[in-house]
Amino acid sequence: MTILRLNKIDKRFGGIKALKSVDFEVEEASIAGIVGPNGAGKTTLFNIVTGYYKPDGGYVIFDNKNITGLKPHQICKMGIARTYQIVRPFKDMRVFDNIMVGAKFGRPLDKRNPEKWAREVLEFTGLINRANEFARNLTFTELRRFEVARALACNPKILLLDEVLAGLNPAEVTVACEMIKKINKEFNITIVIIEHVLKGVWALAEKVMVLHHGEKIGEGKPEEVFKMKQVEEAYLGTRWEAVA
Amino acid sequence: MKVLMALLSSKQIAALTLFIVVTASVPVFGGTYAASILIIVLSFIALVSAWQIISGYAGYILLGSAAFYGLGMYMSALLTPILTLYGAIPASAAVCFAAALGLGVPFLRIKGPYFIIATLALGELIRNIVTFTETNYFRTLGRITIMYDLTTILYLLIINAVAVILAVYFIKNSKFGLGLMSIKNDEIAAESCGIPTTKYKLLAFGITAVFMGSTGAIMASRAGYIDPDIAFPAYISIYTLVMGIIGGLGNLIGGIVSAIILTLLFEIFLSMGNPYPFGILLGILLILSVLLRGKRVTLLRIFRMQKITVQKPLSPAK
Ligand SMILES: Nc1ncnc2c1ncn2[C@@H]1O[C@H](COP(=O)(O)OP(=O)(O)O)[C@@H](O)[C@H]1O
Ligand SMILES: [Mg+2]
Repeated sequence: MTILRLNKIDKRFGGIKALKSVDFEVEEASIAGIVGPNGAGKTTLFNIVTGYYKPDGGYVIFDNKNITGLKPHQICKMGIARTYQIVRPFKDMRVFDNIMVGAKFGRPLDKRNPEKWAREVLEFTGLINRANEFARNLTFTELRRFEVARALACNPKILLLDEVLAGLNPAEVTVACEMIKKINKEFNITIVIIEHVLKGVWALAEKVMVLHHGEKIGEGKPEEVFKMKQVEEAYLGTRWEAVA
Repeated sequence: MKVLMALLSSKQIAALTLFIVVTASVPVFGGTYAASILIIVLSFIALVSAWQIISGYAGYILLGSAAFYGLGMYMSALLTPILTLYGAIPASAAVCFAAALGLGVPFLRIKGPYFIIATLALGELIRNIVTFTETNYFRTLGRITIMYDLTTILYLLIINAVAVILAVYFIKNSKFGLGLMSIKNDEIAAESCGIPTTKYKLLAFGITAVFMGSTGAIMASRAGYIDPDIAFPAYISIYTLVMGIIGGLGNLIGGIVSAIILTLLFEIFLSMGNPYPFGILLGILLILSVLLRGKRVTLLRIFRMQKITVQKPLSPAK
């Protein structure tokens, strides 16, 4: 079943066309990837799905409901949570309280206790021994995990991860990938992950979309997509440019 | 009472009881002069505590407290003849709530220093609207208010102050308070975590206005006569902000203590016939508290930087 469907999404910023008629579908319980060079429009796409930007054209269907034009907090409550490429912790609040925000304001937890859930999330992301720390004191790597933890605390059906692997060393990338897979399998959460490098999503995604200058230039299984000529050109320039 | 007992610690109940007993006995033992100073202290305690909601918790620094204080005064002057002061207080507070919701829609879109400046303009705007209406439609600038005796005013202000303190305390420890503090830290992240930021900011602004309005409403019956300059004095806006900042953003007790100390200091300078050094002192204190805040150094222990924490900290070994 398709849980998220983007239909002909257009977005302009002044003269720049950040997205040009982008279609994308995400299967429930899958991991999907979005890749593309810097400025391709990946983050803009997340901003549209989460309600920060209204698309100039097209619509977004989530869980069989049209969510285009809803407010970000409404979309979060329906079950879409995200992380930010540039992390946005509540700096002067304790890590535990940060996570409690997700647990209390995100998609309702039914009968689960928010504090217990927050604790569970912190244990899962390996931040439990930092629970009493102020978020501003977390290290770079911890902040990356923290962003995922707070989004996970929102109890989402689908989790949008914006370049959570960027800047991590190879060992940390391996750990992070394991964590993402576990979120997908154990919590049964659909995942869409953005990376600007192709190999970031290689091991994770079942399906990848490649964006370039706001256009979808390829879609499919990772190994198929990366063989496409237009994808190669987007990353390396055309053969002519590469020679020049 | 039972509810309060369940929500407050015994220490807090003791402190609150002490506060009520001490303030309520001032007219009995301290005479009229002490009572009239206490009235100013209690007004500022209410104003600065109310200020903490929109500024200390939600992070929107308000430099326009006079707007709601004065609106409360004018509403009270209009309504006391009809409803008595006891009816006029809640009615004036309700008008301030409605005004804050209406004004909040455009104003709370403005962020950071621009919000501060805009709210300074807000006080002036309301003062000018009132002046305009009064001179053009009522052919008057001032209004005689129905006076209540000093003790009644004092007791009403005690109830008012306790009500604000309790309200602010409960907001701080509520889900609403957690939402406000998230907004102060990062509004965009707060919204994406499911917090209805627009609604929360408006509500916070509204509650702040309610208690500033109720304070003004009571003070109208102390004044005997009001005009726009009495009802909307710039010093109300400035002192409230300075007390809040010196006491610590979001620090309820710090704000109350600085309201007490600064008002008393002002009275001392005033009784010596020269209030100007007080302004200088206030300026220095403000600069110090802003400078030291950045370095997270403590000014006085009681004025220490409020560490924002909502939940009880986790016990580490578990
Ligand atoms: N708020 C905005 N205002 C103007 N231009 C924007 C805005 N957000 C993004 N853009 C532009 O849209 C394009 C896509 O940006 P973005 O989605 O952030 O790219 P990516 O995340 O793929 O690196 C860029 O050219 C960027 O400058
Ligand atoms: Mg990006």
